[in-house]
Amino acid sequence: MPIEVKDVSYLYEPGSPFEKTALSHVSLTIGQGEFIGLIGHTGSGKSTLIQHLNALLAPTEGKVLYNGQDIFEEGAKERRKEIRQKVGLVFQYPEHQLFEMTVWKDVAFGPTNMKLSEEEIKERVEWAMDLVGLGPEYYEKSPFDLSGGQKRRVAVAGVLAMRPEYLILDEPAAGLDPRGRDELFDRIAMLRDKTGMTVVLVSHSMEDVARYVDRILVMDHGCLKYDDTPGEVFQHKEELEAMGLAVPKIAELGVMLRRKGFDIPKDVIRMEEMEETLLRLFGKEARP
Amino acid sequence: MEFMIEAKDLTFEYPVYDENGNETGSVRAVDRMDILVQKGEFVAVLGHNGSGKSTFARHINALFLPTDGEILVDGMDTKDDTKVWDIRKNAGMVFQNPDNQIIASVVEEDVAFGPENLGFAPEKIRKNVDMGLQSVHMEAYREASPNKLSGGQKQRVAIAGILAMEPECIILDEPTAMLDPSGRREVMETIEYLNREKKMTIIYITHHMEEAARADRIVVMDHGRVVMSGKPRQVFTQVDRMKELGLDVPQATELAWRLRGRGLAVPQDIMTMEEMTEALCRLK
Repeated sequence: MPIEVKDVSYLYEPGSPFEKTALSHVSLTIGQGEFIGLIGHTGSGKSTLIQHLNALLAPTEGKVLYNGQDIFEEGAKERRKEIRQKVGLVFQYPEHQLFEMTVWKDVAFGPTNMKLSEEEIKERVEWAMDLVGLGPEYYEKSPFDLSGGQKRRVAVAGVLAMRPEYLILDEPAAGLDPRGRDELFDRIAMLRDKTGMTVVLVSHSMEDVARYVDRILVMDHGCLKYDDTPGEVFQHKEELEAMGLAVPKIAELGVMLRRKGFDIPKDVIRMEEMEETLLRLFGKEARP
Repeated sequence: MEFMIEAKDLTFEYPVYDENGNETGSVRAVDRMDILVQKGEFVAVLGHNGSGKSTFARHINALFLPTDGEILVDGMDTKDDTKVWDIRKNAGMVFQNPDNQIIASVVEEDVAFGPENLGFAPEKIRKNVDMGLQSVHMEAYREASPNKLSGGQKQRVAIAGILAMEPECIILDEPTAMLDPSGRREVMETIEYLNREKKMTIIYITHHMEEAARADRIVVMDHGRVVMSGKPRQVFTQVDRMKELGLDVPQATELAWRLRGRGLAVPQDIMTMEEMTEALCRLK
Protein backbone atom coordinates (compact mmCIF):
# COMPACT_ATOMS: atom_id res chain seq x y z
CA MET A 1 0.00 0.00 0.00
CA PRO A 2 1.53 3.29 -1.07
CA ILE A 3 2.48 6.20 1.13
CA GLU A 4 1.66 9.51 -0.48
CA VAL A 5 3.21 12.75 0.69
CA LYS A 6 1.06 15.59 -0.63
CA ASP A 7 2.37 19.13 -0.68
CA VAL A 8 3.88 18.74 2.79
CA SER A 9 5.60 21.63 4.54
CA TYR A 10 7.05 21.49 8.00
CA LEU A 11 8.17 24.34 10.21
CA TYR A 12 10.18 23.88 13.37
CA GLU A 13 8.98 26.17 16.18
CA PRO A 14 6.52 28.12 14.03
CA GLY A 15 5.77 31.65 15.18
CA SER A 16 8.90 31.82 17.34
CA PRO A 17 12.12 33.69 16.51
CA PHE A 18 13.64 30.26 15.83
CA GLU A 19 11.14 29.34 13.13
CA LYS A 20 12.79 27.25 10.47
CA THR A 21 11.35 25.71 7.34
CA ALA A 22 12.50 22.11 7.26
CA LEU A 23 10.25 20.95 4.43
CA SER A 24 8.74 23.07 1.73
CA HIS A 25 5.88 21.72 -0.43
CA VAL A 26 7.21 18.21 -0.83
CA SER A 27 5.11 15.76 -2.86
CA LEU A 28 6.00 12.17 -3.62
CA THR A 29 4.61 8.65 -3.63
CA ILE A 30 6.38 5.61 -2.32
CA GLY A 31 5.05 2.40 -3.79
CA GLN A 32 5.31 -1.16 -2.60
CA GLY A 33 8.57 -2.97 -3.21
CA GLU A 34 10.62 0.04 -4.26
CA PHE A 35 14.27 0.48 -3.29
CA ILE A 36 14.75 4.20 -2.85
CA GLY A 37 17.79 6.29 -1.95
CA LEU A 38 17.30 9.58 -0.15
CA ILE A 39 20.23 11.99 -0.37
CA GLY A 40 20.81 15.60 0.61
CA HIS A 41 23.23 17.80 2.53
CA THR A 42 23.14 18.02 6.33
CA GLY A 43 20.03 19.98 7.24
CA SER A 44 18.35 19.44 3.86
CA GLY A 45 15.24 17.93 5.46
CA LYS A 46 15.89 14.19 4.96
CA SER A 47 15.31 13.24 8.58
CA THR A 48 12.28 15.48 8.88
CA LEU A 49 10.83 13.84 5.78
CA ILE A 50 11.31 10.28 6.98
CA GLN A 51 9.76 11.12 10.33
CA HIS A 52 6.61 12.11 8.44
CA LEU A 53 6.51 8.71 6.78
CA ASN A 54 5.83 6.93 10.04
CA ALA A 55 3.80 9.62 11.75
CA LEU A 56 6.46 10.77 14.19
CA LEU A 57 5.99 14.30 12.89
CA ALA A 58 2.74 15.83 11.65
CA PRO A 59 3.01 18.20 8.68
CA THR A 60 2.48 21.91 9.33
CA GLU A 61 0.79 21.99 5.92
CA GLY A 62 -0.23 19.27 3.48
CA LYS A 63 -1.11 15.63 4.01
CA VAL A 64 0.42 12.22 4.38
CA LEU A 65 -1.78 9.43 3.04
CA TYR A 66 -1.37 5.76 3.80
CA ASN A 67 -3.45 3.52 1.59
CA GLY A 68 -5.34 6.62 0.46
CA GLN A 69 -6.28 7.73 3.97
CA ASP A 70 -5.00 10.81 5.75
CA ILE A 71 -3.01 9.62 8.76
CA PHE A 72 -3.14 12.94 10.54
CA GLU A 73 -6.82 13.71 10.35
CA GLU A 74 -8.82 14.11 13.52
CA GLY A 75 -9.59 10.80 15.21
CA ALA A 76 -7.04 8.81 13.18
CA LYS A 77 -4.99 7.78 16.20
CA GLU A 78 -5.40 4.08 15.40
CA ARG A 79 -4.24 4.69 11.85
CA ARG A 80 -1.09 6.38 13.18
CA LYS A 81 -0.45 3.49 15.48
CA GLU A 82 -0.82 1.11 12.57
CA ILE A 83 1.53 3.06 10.33
CA ARG A 84 4.22 3.10 13.01
CA GLN A 85 4.21 -0.67 12.84
CA LYS A 86 4.04 -0.77 9.05
CA VAL A 87 6.88 1.69 8.61
CA GLY A 88 9.98 0.57 10.46
CA LEU A 89 12.49 3.33 11.06
CA VAL A 90 16.11 2.47 11.82
CA PHE A 91 17.78 5.58 13.18
CA GLN A 92 21.44 6.52 12.89
CA TYR A 93 23.64 4.49 15.20
CA PRO A 94 20.74 2.21 16.15
CA GLU A 95 23.08 0.09 18.27
CA HIS A 96 22.96 2.89 20.85
CA GLN A 97 19.38 1.87 21.43
CA LEU A 98 20.12 -1.73 22.30
CA PHE A 99 19.47 -2.24 25.98
CA GLU A 100 18.41 -5.80 26.81
CA MET A 101 20.56 -8.46 28.45
CA THR A 102 20.37 -10.77 25.45
CA VAL A 103 20.09 -10.35 21.71
CA TRP A 104 16.88 -12.41 21.77
CA LYS A 105 15.16 -10.12 24.25
CA ASP A 106 16.21 -7.05 22.37
CA VAL A 107 14.82 -8.26 19.07
CA ALA A 108 11.65 -9.48 20.83
CA PHE A 109 11.00 -6.09 22.41
CA GLY A 110 8.84 -4.71 19.57
CA PRO A 111 6.69 -7.81 19.02
CA THR A 112 6.28 -8.19 22.81
CA ASN A 113 4.92 -4.66 22.99
CA MET A 114 2.55 -5.50 20.17
CA LYS A 115 1.07 -8.04 22.61
CA LEU A 116 1.57 -10.96 20.24
CA SER A 117 1.44 -14.56 21.39
CA GLU A 118 4.63 -16.22 22.64
CA GLU A 119 4.62 -18.42 19.59
CA GLU A 120 4.26 -15.54 17.16
CA ILE A 121 7.03 -13.61 18.94
CA LYS A 122 9.34 -16.60 18.70
CA GLU A 123 8.63 -17.07 15.03
CA ARG A 124 9.22 -13.38 14.27
CA VAL A 125 12.45 -13.12 16.21
CA GLU A 126 13.85 -16.19 14.47
CA TRP A 127 12.73 -14.86 11.10
CA ALA A 128 14.25 -11.41 11.70
CA MET A 129 17.53 -12.81 13.01
CA ASP A 130 17.77 -15.09 10.02
CA LEU A 131 17.18 -12.18 7.62
CA VAL A 132 20.05 -10.19 9.09
CA GLY A 133 22.26 -13.28 9.04
CA LEU A 134 22.69 -13.95 12.75
CA GLY A 135 22.18 -17.60 13.71
CA PRO A 136 20.86 -19.17 16.95
CA GLU A 137 24.35 -19.01 18.46
CA TYR A 138 23.74 -15.27 18.91
CA TYR A 139 20.36 -15.51 20.65
CA GLU A 140 21.66 -15.65 24.21
CA LYS A 141 24.65 -13.36 23.76
CA SER A 142 24.75 -9.93 25.27
CA PRO A 143 24.33 -7.36 22.48
CA PHE A 144 27.23 -5.47 24.00
CA ASP A 145 29.68 -8.29 23.29
CA LEU A 146 29.10 -8.08 19.55
CA SER A 147 31.09 -6.19 16.91
CA GLY A 148 29.83 -2.87 15.59
CA GLY A 149 28.40 -4.41 12.43
CA GLN A 150 26.70 -7.22 14.34
CA LYS A 151 25.15 -4.81 16.84
CA ARG A 152 23.75 -2.83 14.00
CA ARG A 153 22.26 -5.96 12.45
CA VAL A 154 20.61 -6.80 15.79
CA ALA A 155 19.09 -3.32 15.84
CA VAL A 156 17.77 -3.80 12.30
CA ALA A 157 16.37 -7.20 13.31
CA GLY A 158 14.51 -5.51 16.15
CA VAL A 159 12.69 -3.34 13.62
CA LEU A 160 12.15 -6.21 11.17
CA ALA A 161 10.53 -8.28 13.92
CA MET A 162 7.65 -5.81 13.78
CA ARG A 163 7.11 -7.10 10.19
CA PRO A 164 7.04 -3.67 8.59
CA GLU A 165 6.01 -3.14 4.98
CA TYR A 166 8.45 -0.29 4.76
CA LEU A 167 11.97 -0.20 6.10
CA ILE A 168 13.63 3.20 6.38
CA LEU A 169 17.31 3.24 7.25
CA ASP A 170 19.05 6.48 8.20
CA GLU A 171 22.77 6.20 7.38
CA PRO A 172 22.92 2.50 8.20
CA ALA A 173 26.59 2.14 7.27
CA ALA A 174 28.07 5.17 9.07
CA GLY A 175 31.13 4.08 11.02
CA LEU A 176 31.16 0.53 9.66
CA ASP A 177 34.28 -0.76 7.95
CA PRO A 178 34.05 -1.73 4.26
CA ARG A 179 33.29 -5.39 4.98
CA GLY A 180 30.68 -4.53 7.60
CA ARG A 181 29.10 -2.09 5.19
CA ASP A 182 28.97 -4.60 2.31
CA GLU A 183 27.53 -7.31 4.55
CA LEU A 184 24.82 -5.01 5.87
CA PHE A 185 23.81 -3.75 2.43
CA ASP A 186 23.89 -7.19 0.86
CA ARG A 187 21.61 -8.41 3.65
CA ILE A 188 19.22 -5.53 3.12
CA ALA A 189 19.13 -6.11 -0.64
CA MET A 190 18.52 -9.80 -0.02
CA LEU A 191 15.73 -9.29 2.50
CA ARG A 192 14.07 -6.90 0.10
CA ASP A 193 14.16 -9.52 -2.66
CA LYS A 194 12.84 -12.16 -0.29
CA THR A 195 10.06 -10.16 1.34
CA GLY A 196 9.14 -7.52 -1.22
CA MET A 197 9.59 -4.94 1.50
CA THR A 198 9.97 -1.32 0.43
CA VAL A 199 13.34 0.06 1.47
CA VAL A 200 14.28 3.71 1.81
CA LEU A 201 17.99 4.26 2.30
CA VAL A 202 19.20 7.61 3.61
CA SER A 203 22.89 7.97 2.86
CA HIS A 204 25.79 10.34 2.37
CA SER A 205 27.60 7.76 0.28
CA MET A 206 26.82 8.25 -3.38
CA GLU A 207 28.59 4.96 -4.15
CA ASP A 208 26.27 2.99 -1.86
CA VAL A 209 23.19 4.70 -3.25
CA ALA A 210 24.28 4.13 -6.86
CA ARG A 211 24.99 0.50 -6.15
CA TYR A 212 21.71 -0.52 -4.59
CA VAL A 213 18.70 1.68 -5.31
CA ASP A 214 16.32 2.00 -8.28
CA ARG A 215 15.15 5.51 -7.54
CA ILE A 216 16.76 8.53 -5.88
CA LEU A 217 15.15 11.42 -4.05
CA VAL A 218 17.37 14.48 -3.67
CA MET A 219 16.54 16.99 -0.95
CA ASP A 220 17.99 20.50 -0.89
CA HIS A 221 17.04 23.13 1.69
CA GLY A 222 13.71 21.46 2.40
CA CYS A 223 12.72 21.04 -1.25
CA LEU A 224 12.60 17.87 -3.30
CA LYS A 225 14.99 18.68 -6.16
CA TYR A 226 15.09 15.42 -8.07
CA ASP A 227 13.02 12.26 -8.03
CA ASP A 228 14.38 9.95 -10.69
CA THR A 229 16.50 6.91 -11.54
CA PRO A 230 20.15 6.96 -10.40
CA GLY A 231 21.27 7.21 -14.04
CA GLU A 232 19.27 10.39 -14.52
CA VAL A 233 19.97 11.98 -11.14
CA PHE A 234 23.74 11.53 -11.42
CA GLN A 235 23.76 13.38 -14.77
CA HIS A 236 23.45 16.56 -12.73
CA LYS A 237 27.03 16.70 -11.48
CA GLU A 238 27.33 20.50 -11.19
CA GLU A 239 23.92 20.90 -9.57
CA LEU A 240 24.58 18.12 -7.06
CA GLU A 241 27.96 19.55 -6.15
CA ALA A 242 26.42 22.97 -5.62
CA MET A 243 24.01 21.28 -3.19
CA GLY A 244 26.91 19.86 -1.19
CA LEU A 245 26.57 16.42 -2.76
CA ALA A 246 28.62 14.54 -5.31
CA VAL A 247 28.30 11.92 -8.02
CA PRO A 248 29.75 8.43 -7.64
CA LYS A 249 33.37 8.10 -8.79
CA ILE A 250 32.30 5.81 -11.62
CA ALA A 251 29.88 8.45 -12.90
CA GLU A 252 32.73 10.98 -12.75
CA LEU A 253 34.85 8.67 -14.86
CA GLY A 254 31.98 8.39 -17.34
CA VAL A 255 31.89 12.18 -17.73
CA MET A 256 35.66 12.37 -18.28
CA LEU A 257 35.69 9.53 -20.79
CA ARG A 258 32.81 10.98 -22.78
CA ARG A 259 34.75 14.24 -23.04
CA LYS A 260 37.61 12.25 -24.56
CA GLY A 261 35.25 10.78 -27.10
CA PHE A 262 34.57 7.39 -25.52
CA ASP A 263 31.11 5.98 -26.10
CA ILE A 264 30.00 5.45 -22.50
CA PRO A 265 26.24 5.59 -21.96
CA LYS A 266 25.18 8.16 -19.37
CA ASP A 267 23.45 5.63 -17.16
CA VAL A 268 26.67 3.72 -16.46
CA ILE A 269 27.24 4.62 -12.81
CA ARG A 270 28.09 1.28 -11.18
CA MET A 271 31.43 -0.50 -11.02
CA GLU A 272 30.26 -3.68 -12.79
CA GLU A 273 28.52 -1.76 -15.56
CA MET A 274 31.62 0.34 -16.21
CA GLU A 275 33.77 -2.79 -16.25
CA GLU A 276 31.57 -4.47 -18.86
CA THR A 277 31.19 -1.32 -20.95
CA LEU A 278 34.94 -0.73 -21.12
CA LEU A 279 35.68 -4.34 -21.94
CA ARG A 280 33.17 -4.20 -24.78
CA LEU A 281 34.66 -0.95 -26.09
CA PHE A 282 38.12 -2.48 -26.11
CA GLY A 283 36.85 -5.63 -27.77
CA LYS A 284 37.48 -7.91 -24.82
CA GLU A 285 35.19 -10.82 -24.38
CA ALA A 286 32.18 -10.30 -22.16
CA ARG A 287 31.72 -12.54 -19.17
CA PRO A 288 30.00 -15.79 -20.20
CA MET B 1 65.52 12.49 11.53
CA GLU B 2 63.02 13.73 14.06
CA PHE B 3 60.11 11.56 15.04
CA MET B 4 56.73 12.73 16.27
CA ILE B 5 55.69 9.26 17.36
CA GLU B 6 57.88 6.31 18.29
CA ALA B 7 56.05 3.24 19.51
CA LYS B 8 57.97 0.12 20.45
CA ASP B 9 56.29 -3.14 21.42
CA LEU B 10 53.22 -1.08 22.24
CA THR B 11 50.67 -3.34 23.89
CA PHE B 12 47.31 -2.61 25.40
CA GLU B 13 45.18 -5.16 27.20
CA TYR B 14 41.91 -4.70 28.96
CA PRO B 15 40.09 -7.14 31.19
CA VAL B 16 36.76 -8.75 30.27
CA TYR B 17 34.11 -9.34 32.93
CA ASP B 18 31.12 -11.65 33.05
CA GLU B 19 27.63 -10.59 34.15
CA ASN B 20 28.56 -10.87 37.80
CA GLY B 21 31.59 -8.68 37.49
CA ASN B 22 34.18 -11.45 37.67
CA GLU B 23 37.20 -11.07 35.46
CA THR B 24 37.08 -13.82 32.84
CA GLY B 25 40.00 -12.93 30.65
CA SER B 26 41.53 -10.10 28.70
CA VAL B 27 41.56 -8.67 25.22
CA ARG B 28 44.71 -7.46 23.54
CA ALA B 29 43.58 -4.49 21.46
CA VAL B 30 47.10 -3.48 20.50
CA ASP B 31 49.68 -6.22 20.30
CA ARG B 32 53.40 -5.40 20.32
CA MET B 33 52.97 -2.68 17.76
CA ASP B 34 55.98 -0.84 16.35
CA ILE B 35 55.58 2.39 14.46
CA LEU B 36 57.61 5.48 13.70
CA VAL B 37 55.99 8.65 12.44
CA GLN B 38 58.16 11.51 11.23
CA LYS B 39 57.46 15.09 12.08
CA GLY B 40 55.32 16.65 9.38
CA GLU B 41 54.16 13.31 7.99
CA PHE B 42 50.53 12.70 6.97
CA VAL B 43 49.72 9.11 7.89
CA ALA B 44 46.38 7.45 7.17
CA VAL B 45 45.54 4.48 9.40
CA LEU B 46 43.26 1.81 7.94
CA GLY B 47 41.90 -1.38 9.43
CA HIS B 48 38.56 -3.09 10.03
CA ASN B 49 36.53 -2.32 13.13
CA GLY B 50 38.28 -3.87 16.10
CA SER B 51 41.72 -3.89 14.47
CA GLY B 52 43.13 -1.58 17.14
CA LYS B 53 43.25 1.74 15.26
CA SER B 54 41.35 3.80 17.80
CA THR B 55 43.10 2.18 20.74
CA PHE B 56 46.44 3.07 19.16
CA ALA B 57 45.24 6.63 18.50
CA ARG B 58 44.25 7.08 22.13
CA HIS B 59 47.80 6.24 23.16
CA ILE B 60 49.18 9.16 21.20
CA ASN B 61 47.72 11.70 23.57
CA ALA B 62 47.94 9.56 26.69
CA LEU B 63 44.22 8.87 26.99
CA PHE B 64 45.33 5.24 27.25
CA LEU B 65 48.63 4.14 28.73
CA PRO B 66 50.39 1.05 27.41
CA THR B 67 50.12 -2.10 29.50
CA ASP B 68 53.44 -3.11 27.94
CA GLY B 69 55.99 -1.52 25.67
CA GLU B 70 56.20 2.23 25.22
CA ILE B 71 55.20 5.15 23.09
CA LEU B 72 57.11 8.40 22.84
CA VAL B 73 55.34 11.51 21.56
CA ASP B 74 57.74 14.22 20.48
CA GLY B 75 60.32 12.41 22.57
CA MET B 76 58.14 12.31 25.71
CA ASP B 77 57.14 9.01 27.28
CA THR B 78 53.36 8.93 27.83
CA LYS B 79 53.92 6.99 31.06
CA ASP B 80 55.75 9.96 32.57
CA ASP B 81 53.12 11.68 34.77
CA THR B 82 54.87 15.02 34.59
CA LYS B 83 54.63 15.08 30.80
CA VAL B 84 50.96 14.21 30.32
CA TRP B 85 49.78 17.79 29.85
CA ASP B 86 52.62 18.63 27.49
CA ILE B 87 51.73 15.57 25.45
CA ARG B 88 48.03 16.42 25.32
CA LYS B 89 48.78 19.98 24.33
CA ASN B 90 51.07 18.73 21.61
CA ALA B 91 48.80 16.04 20.19
CA GLY B 92 45.17 17.07 19.81
CA MET B 93 42.40 14.70 18.93
CA VAL B 94 39.27 15.02 16.75
CA PHE B 95 36.57 12.37 17.03
CA GLN B 96 33.83 11.03 14.80
CA ASN B 97 30.74 12.77 16.08
CA PRO B 98 30.98 16.56 15.89
CA ASP B 99 28.04 17.00 18.26
CA ASN B 100 29.87 15.27 21.10
CA GLN B 101 32.84 17.61 20.93
CA ILE B 102 31.31 21.03 21.05
CA ILE B 103 30.72 22.40 24.51
CA ALA B 104 30.19 26.15 24.27
CA SER B 105 27.22 28.06 22.86
CA VAL B 106 29.32 30.40 20.73
CA VAL B 107 31.90 29.23 18.20
CA GLU B 108 34.81 31.35 19.44
CA GLU B 109 34.20 30.37 23.05
CA ASP B 110 34.33 26.75 22.02
CA VAL B 111 37.65 27.30 20.26
CA ALA B 112 38.96 29.16 23.34
CA PHE B 113 38.19 26.28 25.68
CA GLY B 114 41.47 24.43 25.10
CA PRO B 115 43.87 27.37 25.38
CA GLU B 116 41.97 28.68 28.44
CA ASN B 117 42.49 25.36 30.16
CA LEU B 118 46.16 25.43 29.32
CA GLY B 119 46.34 28.75 31.19
CA PHE B 120 47.44 30.85 28.20
CA ALA B 121 47.37 34.63 28.70
CA PRO B 122 44.18 36.36 27.47
CA GLU B 123 45.95 38.09 24.55
CA LYS B 124 47.45 34.83 23.48
CA ILE B 125 44.07 33.10 23.69
CA ARG B 126 42.54 35.82 21.52
CA LYS B 127 45.34 35.49 18.99
CA ASN B 128 45.18 31.70 18.92
CA VAL B 129 41.41 31.62 18.54
CA ASP B 130 41.67 33.97 15.56
CA MET B 131 44.47 31.91 14.07
CA GLY B 132 42.57 28.65 14.63
CA LEU B 133 39.39 29.90 13.02
CA GLN B 134 41.31 31.41 10.11
CA SER B 135 43.15 28.17 9.45
CA VAL B 136 39.87 26.30 9.02
CA HIS B 137 38.19 29.21 7.19
CA MET B 138 35.54 29.69 9.84
CA GLU B 139 36.34 33.23 10.97
CA ALA B 140 33.02 34.50 9.60
CA TYR B 141 31.23 32.24 12.09
CA ARG B 142 33.09 33.30 15.22
CA GLU B 143 29.96 34.58 16.91
CA ALA B 144 27.61 31.94 15.54
CA SER B 145 25.95 29.27 17.62
CA PRO B 146 27.57 25.89 16.90
CA ASN B 147 24.23 24.13 16.67
CA LYS B 148 23.40 26.17 13.56
CA LEU B 149 26.43 24.84 11.71
CA SER B 150 26.62 21.95 9.26
CA GLY B 151 28.51 18.80 10.21
CA GLY B 152 31.58 19.80 8.20
CA GLN B 153 31.62 23.23 9.82
CA LYS B 154 31.33 21.71 13.29
CA GLN B 155 34.29 19.43 12.60
CA ARG B 156 36.29 22.44 11.40
CA VAL B 157 35.44 24.26 14.63
CA ALA B 158 36.63 21.20 16.57
CA ILE B 159 39.88 21.31 14.59
CA ALA B 160 40.22 25.07 15.25
CA GLY B 161 39.89 24.37 18.98
CA ILE B 162 42.82 22.02 18.74
CA LEU B 163 44.92 24.38 16.64
CA ALA B 164 44.41 27.08 19.27
CA MET B 165 46.41 24.90 21.67
CA GLU B 166 49.37 25.06 19.25
CA PRO B 167 49.89 21.33 18.82
CA GLU B 168 52.39 19.82 16.44
CA CYS B 169 50.26 16.78 15.77
CA ILE B 170 46.56 16.20 15.15
CA ILE B 171 44.95 12.80 15.42
CA LEU B 172 41.60 12.41 13.67
CA ASP B 173 39.49 9.33 14.34
CA GLU B 174 37.05 8.94 11.44
CA PRO B 175 36.26 12.65 11.35
CA THR B 176 34.16 12.38 8.18
CA ALA B 177 32.08 9.29 9.00
CA MET B 178 28.98 11.34 9.72
CA LEU B 179 29.42 14.06 7.12
CA ASP B 180 27.86 14.69 3.74
CA PRO B 181 30.10 14.88 0.64
CA SER B 182 30.75 18.62 0.95
CA GLY B 183 31.52 18.25 4.67
CA ARG B 184 34.00 15.52 3.79
CA ARG B 185 35.64 17.73 1.17
CA GLU B 186 35.92 20.62 3.66
CA VAL B 187 37.58 18.49 6.32
CA MET B 188 40.01 16.87 3.86
CA GLU B 189 41.03 20.22 2.40
CA THR B 190 41.58 21.62 5.91
CA ILE B 191 43.75 18.67 6.85
CA GLU B 192 45.85 18.90 3.70
CA TYR B 193 46.32 22.62 4.28
CA LEU B 194 47.48 22.07 7.87
CA ASN B 195 49.89 19.40 6.78
CA ARG B 196 51.37 21.25 3.78
CA GLU B 197 51.31 24.84 4.94
CA LYS B 198 51.66 24.49 8.70
CA LYS B 199 53.83 21.36 8.57
CA MET B 200 51.67 19.59 11.10
CA THR B 201 51.90 15.87 11.68
CA ILE B 202 48.57 14.21 10.85
CA ILE B 203 47.32 10.81 11.98
CA TYR B 204 44.13 10.17 10.08
CA ILE B 205 41.94 7.15 10.80
CA THR B 206 39.36 6.46 8.11
CA HIS B 207 37.29 3.89 6.25
CA HIS B 208 37.25 6.07 3.13
CA MET B 209 39.93 4.81 0.78
CA GLU B 210 39.74 7.90 -1.44
CA GLU B 211 40.71 9.99 1.60
CA ALA B 212 43.54 7.67 2.57
CA ALA B 213 44.92 7.90 -0.97
CA ARG B 214 45.78 11.54 -0.26
CA ALA B 215 48.12 10.77 2.67
CA ASP B 216 51.94 10.50 2.46
CA ARG B 217 51.78 7.01 3.89
CA ILE B 218 49.18 4.38 4.70
CA VAL B 219 49.48 2.14 7.70
CA VAL B 220 47.15 -0.87 7.78
CA MET B 221 46.35 -2.48 11.13
CA ASP B 222 45.02 -5.94 11.83
CA HIS B 223 44.77 -7.71 15.19
CA GLY B 224 46.45 -4.84 16.96
CA ARG B 225 49.51 -4.77 14.72
CA VAL B 226 50.82 -2.96 11.69
CA VAL B 227 50.52 -5.39 8.79
CA MET B 228 51.18 -3.06 5.88
CA SER B 229 52.90 0.28 5.58
CA GLY B 230 53.86 2.27 2.53
CA LYS B 231 52.94 4.93 0.06
CA PRO B 232 49.23 4.80 -0.90
CA ARG B 233 50.13 3.55 -4.35
CA GLN B 234 52.17 0.66 -2.96
CA VAL B 235 49.51 -0.34 -0.46
CA PHE B 236 46.51 -0.04 -2.75
CA THR B 237 48.19 -2.02 -5.53
CA GLN B 238 47.80 -5.07 -3.30
CA VAL B 239 44.08 -5.34 -3.93
CA ASP B 240 43.70 -8.98 -2.90
CA ARG B 241 45.53 -8.40 0.35
CA MET B 242 43.38 -5.38 1.17
CA LYS B 243 40.19 -7.33 0.51
CA GLU B 244 41.43 -10.17 2.69
CA LEU B 245 41.86 -7.65 5.48
CA GLY B 246 38.22 -6.56 5.08
CA LEU B 247 39.19 -3.30 3.43
CA ASP B 248 38.68 -1.60 0.10
CA VAL B 249 40.83 0.24 -2.39
CA PRO B 250 39.89 3.48 -4.17
CA GLN B 251 37.23 2.99 -6.84
CA ALA B 252 39.71 3.73 -9.64
CA THR B 253 42.14 1.11 -8.30
CA GLU B 254 39.34 -1.43 -8.00
CA LEU B 255 38.28 -0.80 -11.59
CA ALA B 256 41.89 -1.16 -12.79
CA TRP B 257 42.16 -4.46 -10.91
CA ARG B 258 38.96 -5.76 -12.47
CA LEU B 259 39.93 -4.67 -16.00
CA ARG B 260 43.39 -6.21 -15.68
CA GLY B 261 41.82 -9.42 -14.45
CA ARG B 262 39.90 -9.58 -17.72
CA GLY B 263 42.85 -8.86 -19.95
CA LEU B 264 42.76 -5.08 -20.40
CA ALA B 265 46.28 -3.76 -19.86
CA VAL B 266 45.76 -0.71 -17.66
CA PRO B 267 48.39 -0.09 -14.97
CA GLN B 268 47.49 -1.48 -11.53
CA ASP B 269 48.75 1.54 -9.60
CA ILE B 270 45.97 3.85 -10.74
CA MET B 271 44.39 5.73 -7.82
CA THR B 272 42.20 8.40 -9.38
CA MET B 273 39.66 8.57 -12.18
CA GLU B 274 41.88 11.15 -13.94
CA GLU B 275 44.66 8.56 -14.12
CA MET B 276 42.19 5.96 -15.34
CA THR B 277 41.03 8.31 -18.10
CA GLU B 278 44.63 8.88 -19.20
CA ALA B 279 45.42 5.18 -19.17
CA LEU B 280 42.37 4.36 -21.27
CA CYS B 281 43.20 7.14 -23.73
CA ARG B 282 46.65 5.64 -24.19
CA LEU B 283 45.15 2.24 -24.96
CA LYS B 284 42.69 3.59 -27.49
